[in-house]
Amino acid sequence: VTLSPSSPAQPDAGADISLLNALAYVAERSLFAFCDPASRETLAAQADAHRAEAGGPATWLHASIHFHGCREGRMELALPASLARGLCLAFSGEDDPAAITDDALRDFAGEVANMTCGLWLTRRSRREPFDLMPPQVMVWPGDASLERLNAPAQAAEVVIATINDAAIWLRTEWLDGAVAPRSVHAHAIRS
Amino acid sequence: MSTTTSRASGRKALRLLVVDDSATMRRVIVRAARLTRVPIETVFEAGNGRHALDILAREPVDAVITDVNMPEMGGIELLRQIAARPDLDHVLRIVVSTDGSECRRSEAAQFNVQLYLEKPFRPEAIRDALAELAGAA
Repeated sequence: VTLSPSSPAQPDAGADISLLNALAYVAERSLFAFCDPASRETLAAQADAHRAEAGGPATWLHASIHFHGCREGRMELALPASLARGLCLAFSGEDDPAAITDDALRDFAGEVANMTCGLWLTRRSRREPFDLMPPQVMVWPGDASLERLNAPAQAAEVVIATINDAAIWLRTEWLDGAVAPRSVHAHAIRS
Repeated sequence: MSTTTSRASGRKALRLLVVDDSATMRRVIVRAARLTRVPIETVFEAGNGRHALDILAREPVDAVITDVNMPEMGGIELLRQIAARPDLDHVLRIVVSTDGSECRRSEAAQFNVQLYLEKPFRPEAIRDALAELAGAA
């Protein structure tokens, strides 16, 4: 189902279309973790603290997922590898941290992006199906992740949050040229 | 993809096919399935619909748990092809997808899907679904 760029689908009346809430639902339901809103200052402070302790930037996983259906766009999710490892253990029920290989960690980050994006799109409109492309996952130093977050972009929405007290970020972007229906989300930070 | 076999019990044991492009998600589904009291003889895993059809062509399978959005061949096309084969009429079909739209659910329902679960799910949802459907089968 494709709508013309001039007639983007409107979210269902009363639908919870907050990206933060979608992430929080995924965190609580599948990752057994708590998710809270956070700020750019929190993100920067955690990056500084890691650099001071470890002598360099943390390693981050950056998952990007392209979707199309009633709207075409992209969602990006970035989280520290150390957080991803802990969450992956909880998600998979694995007891042995050594079982979480680098490939498994990338696969996990992609699946978190997949679940969050899919839930967010479903909540936007239950009437419209969508297709999610396979997530592209990269490993970045924390500095590159922060630069990506702060880079000028046509972001529709940026969310910074903590999961189990570690900061992560998400960003959505429309690629179909349509004007996104604007709505105010309680904890979302728009760029 | 890996194939694992568990101990057989007195009850008819299920041969399960889990189809998802995420290896992590397949692992979660398999673990959840093993929580049920329904004995599971063998678990086959496939990363897309095409690979799943290859397995179905050579192995007897009692239940398929499939994702929808996958590379090469998605879950809906897989279900379409299963529905087109009378020899697979007995196969239980469960969809586990992030796409919870009514349209996608209706599409899946055309191919005799017994249950459509949305991701994210609690592991108990897979366990309970399998126990109920396999118990009724």
